[in-house]
Amino acid sequence: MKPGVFLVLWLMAALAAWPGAQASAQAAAHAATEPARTAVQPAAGAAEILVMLHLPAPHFRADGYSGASYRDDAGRQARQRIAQALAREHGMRLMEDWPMPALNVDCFRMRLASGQDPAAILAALSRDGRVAWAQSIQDFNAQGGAGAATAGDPLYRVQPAAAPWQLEQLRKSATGRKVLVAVIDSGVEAGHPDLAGQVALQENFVDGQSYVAEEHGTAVAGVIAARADNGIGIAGIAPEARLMALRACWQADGGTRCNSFTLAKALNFALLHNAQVINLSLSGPQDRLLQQLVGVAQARGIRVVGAIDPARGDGGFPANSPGVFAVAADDTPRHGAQCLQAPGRDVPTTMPGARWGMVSGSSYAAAHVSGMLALIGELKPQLSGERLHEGIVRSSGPAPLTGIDLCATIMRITGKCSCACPNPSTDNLARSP
Amino acid sequence: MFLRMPQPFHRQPGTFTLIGLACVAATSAQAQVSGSAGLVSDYLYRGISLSSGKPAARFSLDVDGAGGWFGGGQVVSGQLAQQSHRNAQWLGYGGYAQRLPSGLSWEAGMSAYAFHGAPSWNFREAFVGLAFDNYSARLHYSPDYLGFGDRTVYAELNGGAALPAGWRFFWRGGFLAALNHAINSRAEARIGVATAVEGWQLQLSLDAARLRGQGGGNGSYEAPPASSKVRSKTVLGLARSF
Repeated sequence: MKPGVFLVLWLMAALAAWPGAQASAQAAAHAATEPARTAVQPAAGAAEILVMLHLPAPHFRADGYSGASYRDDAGRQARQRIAQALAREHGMRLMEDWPMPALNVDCFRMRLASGQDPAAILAALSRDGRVAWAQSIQDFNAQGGAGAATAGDPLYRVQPAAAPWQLEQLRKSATGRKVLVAVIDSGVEAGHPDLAGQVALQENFVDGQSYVAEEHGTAVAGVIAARADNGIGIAGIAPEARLMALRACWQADGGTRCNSFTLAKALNFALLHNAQVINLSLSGPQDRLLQQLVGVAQARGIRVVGAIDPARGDGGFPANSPGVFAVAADDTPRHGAQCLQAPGRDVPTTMPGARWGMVSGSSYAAAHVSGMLALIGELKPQLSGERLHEGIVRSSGPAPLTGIDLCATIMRITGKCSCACPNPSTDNLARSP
Repeated sequence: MFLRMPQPFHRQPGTFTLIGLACVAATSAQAQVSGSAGLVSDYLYRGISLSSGKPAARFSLDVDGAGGWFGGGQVVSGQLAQQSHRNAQWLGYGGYAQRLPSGLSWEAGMSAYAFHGAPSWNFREAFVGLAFDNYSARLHYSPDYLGFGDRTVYAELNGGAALPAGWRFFWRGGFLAALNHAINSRAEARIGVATAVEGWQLQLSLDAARLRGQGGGNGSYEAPPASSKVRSKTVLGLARSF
């Protein structure tokens, strides 16, 4: 054999035995096998943080190598070595990573040793030149609850939006056809008879768990896009919209929980797969990673809808972010001038197990607005988010049960009356793109 | 030893200086160093063998800085048609790449090639490119491609998609336009599959080139065809990435 071949074989063997390379391979393998319970609910006293490393833009490489996807680009091993070194230096455990090209970062989830102070570690990491930035993993909660389930009788007549929003009339001109709505929530029952064929894509972002159908996600999906005119159950606000069912939340302790990391992965996915509306029927504290992802979504013209948490003065994140369609239930006080109100009390919708049930909360009010934005997205896809916000007509009169006057809103935006418009506005945005 | 030390890089000291500056800019505290070392059954460069159809060893290194600067290099144990044994073929490159809020990325840079034992082949290129998702397009301009005295523009389109079980499908289409001697222009394509397991990469591809006339123009390429002809070859590559 030629000496050069020996040289390369020696190099390959040396690289194979390189501790850093092995460590990164072990980290990757470890991340792939980490049990769901520990990933979602860290052991008592063991906090988790997110460490962002710079993710270079793709460029010319001599070996022409590029990975199989954005999750496996050519420089991933280099970043894993750095993350492994950071974990070692600070006594942390590297759990997994998730590149987020939209933010130019590769996000590493790390678990602190029991008793370690997250604030001290974050402060140290913020001074480390290898780290773009770091933050703690925060908890978020869905903003709605389920009521009693009922049998599968047609429920359209009891949908609070049915009559005021004149959904039957509106469906003659808009159904949300082909508009892609990302439902970032708990699992959606895609096989539910009222949702059959409505879910175009589903993914699980809750670590180590498989995708399961859950109450909150299924209920939100039904409000947005349940099938219409199928003789059963309810009609979604946008029955021909297509859903991207992204499971970033999970049912726990009678509620529905999510965290910064699972939500960030789902938002990243929605960005990469061209969602036109992102429904976030959840709320939590301010979060840098999520804030940046929402900002990128808005910059790309994606409508982001957030549910207001009535218990938080500012409505909580993401509803308190500029440009986000912040929605409260129409039986609660309005949070600020920009807040929208939509049906959010005793809303009949889809439930797991091919059932239907009554639900209440701003989660479902947000879902109504996501459906509405899908209708408008079909009619006026290029309208800027700001003008769209301006164009929404709030209900007036003695009993503004639904908060938003959908017919007047659509007339104002499209210039056409699709239903009996009681309050036609001359100030329309129909000439906007 | 057939991997001899390189001769001085004739004809492109300025290019190597610029590339060196890009590498220095990339080598910040956040620098990420990656690369690969491996073997290919034939080193095909834009559809033409630069290893006389023989297996070649390849080592490459890439450095990314946090600010968007990048740099790198490669050495291949190639063998030009006029050479009787393998010699080192060097490549250095540097540039700047940025991802835009839309998800589209752009890049601009320079590259310089040096051939041990055949310094008259040394050449340099400037390139610009765009990338989105798993697709990229790049334009390379050389004022004196392979020392033939030809100004050339090489356009390439690359794409790929994930396949089941950790495999990946990839393709490339390229066209080299010789601005002074159109007869030297050629089209080339590559299609293949690859997989990566714990840092090891395996690639199998079918490479094809359509030469319009006298191949390299001055007869430097291996067995230049007399007329337009399509050639294809299957290439296997194994590398350890790091």
